[in-house]
Amino acid sequence: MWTWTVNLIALLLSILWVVMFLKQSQAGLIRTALNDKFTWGLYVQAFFFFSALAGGILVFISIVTLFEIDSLRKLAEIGSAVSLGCLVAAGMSLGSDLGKPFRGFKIATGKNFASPLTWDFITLSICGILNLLFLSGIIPGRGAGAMIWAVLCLIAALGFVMIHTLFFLSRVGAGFRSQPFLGLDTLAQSLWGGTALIVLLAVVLKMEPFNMVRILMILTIFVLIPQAGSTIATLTIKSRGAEYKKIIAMDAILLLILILIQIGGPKNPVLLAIGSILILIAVFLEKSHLIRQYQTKPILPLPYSRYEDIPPYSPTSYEWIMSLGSVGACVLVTSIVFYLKPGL
Amino acid sequence: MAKKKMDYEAMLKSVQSGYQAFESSPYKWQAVDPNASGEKKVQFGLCRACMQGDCATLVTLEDGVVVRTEGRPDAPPNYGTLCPKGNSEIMGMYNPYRIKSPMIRTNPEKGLDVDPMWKEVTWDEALDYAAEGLRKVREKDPRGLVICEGWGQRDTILRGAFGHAFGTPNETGSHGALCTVHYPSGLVHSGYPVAVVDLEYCNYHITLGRSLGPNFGAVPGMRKFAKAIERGMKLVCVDPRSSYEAAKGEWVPIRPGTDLAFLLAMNHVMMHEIQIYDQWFMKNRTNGPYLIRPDGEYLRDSETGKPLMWDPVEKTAKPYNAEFKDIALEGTYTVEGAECRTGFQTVKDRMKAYTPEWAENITTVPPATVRRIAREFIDHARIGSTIEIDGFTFPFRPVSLNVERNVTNRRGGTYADLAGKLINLMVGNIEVPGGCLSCSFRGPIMGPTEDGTSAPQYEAVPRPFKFPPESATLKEFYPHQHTAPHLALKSILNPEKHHLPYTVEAWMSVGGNPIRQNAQPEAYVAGFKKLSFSVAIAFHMDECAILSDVLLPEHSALERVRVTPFYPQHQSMDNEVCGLKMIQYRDPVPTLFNTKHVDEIFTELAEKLGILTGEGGLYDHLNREIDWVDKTDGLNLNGEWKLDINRKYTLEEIYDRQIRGWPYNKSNWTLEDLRQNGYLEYWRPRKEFYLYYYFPDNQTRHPFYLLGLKTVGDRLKENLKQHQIPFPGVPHDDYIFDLYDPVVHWVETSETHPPKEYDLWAVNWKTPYYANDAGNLTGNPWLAEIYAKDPWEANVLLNPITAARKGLMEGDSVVVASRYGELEGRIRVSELFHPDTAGIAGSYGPGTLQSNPLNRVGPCFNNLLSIDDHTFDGVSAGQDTAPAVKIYKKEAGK
Amino acid sequence: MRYGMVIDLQKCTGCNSCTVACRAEQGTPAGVHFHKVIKYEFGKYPNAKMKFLPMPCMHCQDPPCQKVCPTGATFIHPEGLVLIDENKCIGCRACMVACPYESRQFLWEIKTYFLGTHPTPYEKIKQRGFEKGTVVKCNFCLQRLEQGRLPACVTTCPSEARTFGDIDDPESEVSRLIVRHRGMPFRAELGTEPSVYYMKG
Repeated sequence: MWTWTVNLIALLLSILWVVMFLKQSQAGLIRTALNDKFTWGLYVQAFFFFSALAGGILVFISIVTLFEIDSLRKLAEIGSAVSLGCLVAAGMSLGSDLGKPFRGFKIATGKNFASPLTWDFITLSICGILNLLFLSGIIPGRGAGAMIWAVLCLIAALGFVMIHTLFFLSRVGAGFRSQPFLGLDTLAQSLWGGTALIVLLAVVLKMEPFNMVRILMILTIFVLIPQAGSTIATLTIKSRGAEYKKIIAMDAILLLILILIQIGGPKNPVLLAIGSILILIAVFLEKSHLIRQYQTKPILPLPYSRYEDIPPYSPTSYEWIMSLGSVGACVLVTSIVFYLKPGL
Repeated sequence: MAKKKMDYEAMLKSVQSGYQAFESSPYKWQAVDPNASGEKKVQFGLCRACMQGDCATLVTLEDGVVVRTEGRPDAPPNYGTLCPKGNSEIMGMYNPYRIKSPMIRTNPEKGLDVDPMWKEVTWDEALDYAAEGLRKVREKDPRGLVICEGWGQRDTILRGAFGHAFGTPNETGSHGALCTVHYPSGLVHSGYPVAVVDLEYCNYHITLGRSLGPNFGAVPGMRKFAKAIERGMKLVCVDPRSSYEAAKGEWVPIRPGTDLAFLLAMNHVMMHEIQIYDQWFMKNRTNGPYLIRPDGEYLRDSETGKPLMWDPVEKTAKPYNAEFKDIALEGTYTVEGAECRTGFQTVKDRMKAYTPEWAENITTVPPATVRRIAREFIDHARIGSTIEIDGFTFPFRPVSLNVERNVTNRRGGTYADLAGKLINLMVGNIEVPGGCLSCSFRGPIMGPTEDGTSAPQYEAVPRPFKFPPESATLKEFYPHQHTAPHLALKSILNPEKHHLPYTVEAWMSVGGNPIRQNAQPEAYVAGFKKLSFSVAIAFHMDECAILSDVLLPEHSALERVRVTPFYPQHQSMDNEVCGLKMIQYRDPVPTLFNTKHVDEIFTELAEKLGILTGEGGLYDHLNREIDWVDKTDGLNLNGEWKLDINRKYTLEEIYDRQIRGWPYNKSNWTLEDLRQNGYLEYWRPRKEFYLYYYFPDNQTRHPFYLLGLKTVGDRLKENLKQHQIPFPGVPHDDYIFDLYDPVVHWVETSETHPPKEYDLWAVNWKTPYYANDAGNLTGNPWLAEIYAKDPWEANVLLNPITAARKGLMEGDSVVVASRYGELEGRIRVSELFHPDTAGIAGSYGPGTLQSNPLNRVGPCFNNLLSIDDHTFDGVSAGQDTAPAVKIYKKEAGK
Repeated sequence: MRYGMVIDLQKCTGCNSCTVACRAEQGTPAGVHFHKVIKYEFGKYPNAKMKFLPMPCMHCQDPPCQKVCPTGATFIHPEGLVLIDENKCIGCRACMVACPYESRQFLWEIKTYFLGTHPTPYEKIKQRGFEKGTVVKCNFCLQRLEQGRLPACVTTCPSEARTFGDIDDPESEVSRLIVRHRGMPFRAELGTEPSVYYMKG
């Protein structure tokens, strides 16, 4: 009953997404709050968020397969379904961000292998294919095939996670504002978020992922390390300090919550669910910070940018609805996979 | 929800929220003419976006639509380059806020925000209506018509003749009252409109309150300026603002409105401290050595009546044109019992009090700076050197000091300009290569009067006195005025105060909008309401149009055919155009709306009024007209080419006759030749460009002791006494006559000692996007997009120290109030301004209910100015452009 | 053969003729400018001056924008220009994020010049090539170069501050000026190898 309600809502949100997408294609991206100074907003943030989750889940699945951890096999299968859902949502988010979305396939024909977006497309497509292979049951539980598949998953997922740090968001290619810890940070967020999503789903499906709390705790520490490192490295750069400190504080508090859960009620599904949701929110906020931190400051240095005034970015209703729509699509796709694969 | 906005949009937001919306739907443009489809052509154009108006352009049309205006390569004076205003002329044409067909008002109520409820009519109806209204005025008293021209319409050749044929003496211009820069050049070296620097050779230039070219984007000036700076010319800008030009030289910050003190201090330093002059020039080419009687007149020879000079070798006084062993420039000499000083000595004695320390209290310029600049000026002047040009030997003085409107426009402004002339005269740089040249007719214009001094020309020739006065702009009381729409306004509001024997009944606007471009807009609105009839040859729904009774819409600049002579440049000079005589042509693009060429309108109106043909008609006056600036070198109707005053002519026929009769038409050119080439040029030898050439050596003498002022002042005083009337509008007569002294001295302006809370002075300047409102530049969206982003536009600019002192921060909304009006604006903090300055650029506001929304935004500087006589300069009737203001935050509402 | 430009900052007086000429030549929609002039102040009163930096697209030889374009819409012309193939652009705006000179603009929508009104005849003709949802930028007026003319911003400059030509040819005027006056690109340390140099600034 409850599942049907959720699925109905997901379906409605997906349909709403389609409607808004068509409206936006007609009116143009002027319906968003984006402008030439703040070019990537909620859509790209959602894209990063979902693809990070998808990548993280895939790493989890791949490790489970590599190390033949049968107790987590079931969890891995659930994860695969939701990973597929996240990939679809990521694709939808990116599609809604394009100026000419109906030309989107040109990414495939562009063959510009220096571009991180091309690699995004390639690695995420491979992730999707690998997920489908896993879900179709072709991949055995152990053996050479499983190993190869697992390694391919690792390459695809880690590769995707690393692409932006290597090529892009830190604008290393243009030689400025490099962020030495960004790679580690993105990877950690991805694993953390992906694992939390799996835990959440497991709780919802009334499985008992009790040992996952410890893993979440470890991953939280994994997340805090590059953040701390980044803050120390930029202690003297006043402009970067404040936002990061808030994020560290938030993640540290989360660590505390997880420790409390571990101590107090590691078997309590409600607490687990809450913990997972908080982690997902933290990842979402981190992605928001990632998007904003490079765009709230002028590109040109002082004194050239003295008179530039970048108004704060506040997403419009179009952006919120479409992002919610992609969440709905993620849930819908996951449900469809569950429906098609009765074993889950 | 944050919405993406351009700054231009942000500007408009304030309009849409603040004003009631004018209920009309956006204009639907007609489809492109199918006959023109696929067509692409380029034709010759002539820009009209600034005062100069002579940049040769190429206009490209595609499918009958104008798609490009750009500089015409290899054509003088701009040789392919063009400023932002010229490049954006297309938007002046495809402007949905233009007046598209003739209209007559049906709502008797008038106001800037009142809907006139226009009725669209045919041209015949509109012209009949206008003619009828004008006829009534003419029958009552033709002097009751004021024709107000302006830079918005400088392509007419019939306007002057129309006014004369109508019988009104009252043609005035909206542009001149804030730019009264003409008298001193006319007095000292027979020049008009101004005097500029010879950038070909000048090595040291001091500029005050003006533009050499870059400050307001005048292309020919910019070309010359860039070359001069590259060549190494030193530039000193004395200005409350560190301007575009100051960025290329030295900036000397000065308190607004105090340039007279600075210039007097420079005079003092040159006369009392450095004491190096061009002795030869001063003795032979000025009236400095003339002996002056104690009553201020020249000491004259009893036989010949000629002014006397002292020969220190022969120890006797002789007429100036006698043989001298040597000439005494300074000193006091007793002649026939009278103690006479030389003219130079008289001036020098007066300058004794004006030390740089004295000036510092007024100007805040450090004394050391004044001394240094004076020293450098003299050092660079190369006194005694010569240069040969085309085989003629000229004195070579590569320095110049030039001032213009932001110096001259206040009480004592004429003295300031004259003080600058004295500085130039002392180094002998007037009308010689490298120095200070007027922009007037190049010919024997500087010839001596019977007193041996160069004849005053142009506006230095006083208008005759009459009582009761004829002119609504009080030419009788301000005989050296430039244009005075503000006085015409006061004649409307208070005719008794002006002793006028008639009432001003009608106003005709021809490209001039004093409501926006002068001062105190509400006063002008009140004036317009009092009129019985007003007609506008209108381009867009500006303030004059919305208050008029009938609108006769005219072409935009691109659509107007134009044949014009090339005038000497107004900002600066160099060899690129020195000696060039040219006729330029604008090939009109197809007309877009139901508009007419302004001269076609004048022709029709004159015909309907019965003043086109016959004696005393428009053509009769046109035959007799001589170009005001370029005199016989202009496009006049000469000899056999005069019009038959009894038949009607097309504009092209008149142009053709002008061309054929042009003195430089050595090849029998016709209008057709002009059309083929776009311009016809003739190069005179460069030596003929410098006026020294016509009266070299001691053949003429520039006034140093300014007797011309005294003569006119005395005569005016006499006339007032004779008719027993006080000078209108001022507290007492000496307020005016103090300004007619032959010796320049310090006078205070109306803004020198304001009440304590008015502790700043507001200044205004033209910008590269805005020289004047030709074609409604402020409303041009291409320019608006850029000036909305420009850090120093559309804001109230304050020095950071001043802002901190007043507790104001960047972005604060403030009210700037003078004693005459106020405006609202936003603060921008800038190091480029003197601490006593509140800087407001360009010309924004007030706009009308039906105007381009862009005309309704921005700080309206003109609100701060005054039409009260006590703020004028008594000689030129120029209004004060640096009013004392106070600033306070908008919510505080002190 | 590589097209390049050198801008004399001593001659530049910040009039924005170049910006408006570019707009007039290319017919860019409202709010979109291929060229911009950065204006700023330098120094403190009483030694403060205005300063100007005209910025077309730098047409870098190692362009970050071309590297990140996923469809290959941004490409390098044989003569050194960095151009956009409007048919391939999907509007992902990665190039805008990558460009350190803010040379690119995205067509969020095509607005009219006179806001709130219908497009003028000029716009109807000139803006045929502009599609909402793509990225646009300066192309060194390639259509004029093909006719043997110079870019609009170069021709229109009243101070004649801009020189354009083949910077691969050591004898060309632009190369000579760069060498003689030690011309440097803006933000050269980023290593994108711009084709636009500045001198005397």
